Amino acid sequence: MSNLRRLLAALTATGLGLGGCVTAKLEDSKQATTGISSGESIVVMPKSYHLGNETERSFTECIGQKLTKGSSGLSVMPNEQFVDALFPWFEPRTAPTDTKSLPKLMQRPGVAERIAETGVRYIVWLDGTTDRTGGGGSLSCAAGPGGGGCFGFTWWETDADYEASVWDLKRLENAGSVSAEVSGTSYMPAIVIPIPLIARTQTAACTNLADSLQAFITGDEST
Amino acid sequence: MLSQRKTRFRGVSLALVAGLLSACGAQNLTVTEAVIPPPLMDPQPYRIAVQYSEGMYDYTHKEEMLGNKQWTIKLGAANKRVYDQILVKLFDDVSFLGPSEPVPENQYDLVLRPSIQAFEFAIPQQSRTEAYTVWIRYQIEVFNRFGTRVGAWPINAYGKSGAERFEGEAAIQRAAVLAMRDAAALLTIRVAAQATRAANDKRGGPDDPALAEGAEPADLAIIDGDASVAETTDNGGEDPNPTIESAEKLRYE
Repeated sequence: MSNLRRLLAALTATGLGLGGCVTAKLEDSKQATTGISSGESIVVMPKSYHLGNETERSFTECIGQKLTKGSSGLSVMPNEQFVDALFPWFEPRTAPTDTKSLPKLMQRPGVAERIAETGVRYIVWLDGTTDRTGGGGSLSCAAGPGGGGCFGFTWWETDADYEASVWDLKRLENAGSVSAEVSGTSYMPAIVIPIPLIARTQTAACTNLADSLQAFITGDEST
Repeated sequence: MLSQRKTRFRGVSLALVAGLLSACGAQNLTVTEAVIPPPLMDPQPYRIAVQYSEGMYDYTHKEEMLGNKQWTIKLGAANKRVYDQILVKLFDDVSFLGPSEPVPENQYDLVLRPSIQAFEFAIPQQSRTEAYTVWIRYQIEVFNRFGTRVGAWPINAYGKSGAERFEGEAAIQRAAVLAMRDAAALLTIRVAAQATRAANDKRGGPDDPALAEGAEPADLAIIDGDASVAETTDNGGEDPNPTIESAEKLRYE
């Protein structure tokens, strides 16, 4: 009995340690030279919910945190702080939807000065979500006076598609975009206890997109 | 032994019935106050009076959803407090009058009368999305210094909260707070675009264009949205053109 328990515990630990299969595709399109000075920072903003599904807040935070890490870590201003400082011009309804409207926005009283005070050089607009796209199998659990257990096998696919557009507030232009498409299949076999083998597509998309964005922004401008 | 089992069975049955009743029961929530940051805009150089309608002091929305709970959403004076916060930043001199308080003649450049016209919300079961959404429709009646009603600014505010972080009551609260913040943003833009025009309106006064010899009847729809308002409100479906039903006079006492 104790051997069986040890085996189940080992299987669970293995399941938690392993993950499902994940494939990632990254692309970037640069439209202008980029670069960032030591006193400059960036802000990561989700696309307005007036324009469709809003990117998950957890993903926006993940990108913001990862961009600060590493040898070429960037200074990232919390987006709520930026939006409050520029109220009412970056609210979901009023935020600019393209770089063509940036010159007009900068002409509004106090806007250019306030952006200069914040030190924000680039706005990274995030668009996209993680969705479950398919799945199958069956798994059933039962419990009785003597104990319980689950038997079966189930699987599901998730796609994490995100695009980050980088706006240069110094040059008032679109510097380009970076996109990440990550898909993965998760499995859950169950022999007495379910053993989840989760494909962490959103985490993979965050790590890959943040790394690419860091390289994209630190870029090629001599500052 | 048998009676013990019967008692246990009754207990379980009662718990089940109570559970079912609570699932179809009432959902009461109070919307917390929205904190509005100071707008990035110089205050307009006008003396204004604000006279809220009764609903702005204590607003409660009740709705029974088909196959769902009865929702009671208490906004209380949260809307009034949002308008209080933003209006004192938008004008140089702001006085707040009670709902039935008389308005002193010729003392203010503008008198604003905000009211709530409608409150609506949607939960994921209705919208078949993961979002909780709130719409609040306000109307601000605008009177010039002569007490003539020169416009009505509709403020159609919208807030949306994803189910990722907030569920049920917390998500509706968050969406309502975002809608009130949206109202503050819309009001800021509208005041910047239209306050000067409304404050300089001469209808009802000694220089009323309608009193000039041979003048055409006054055009009542004088306050319309300018290009900047139309541009910023297109996304949200906000009507940038306020309507005026009649040139009513403010009752002085």
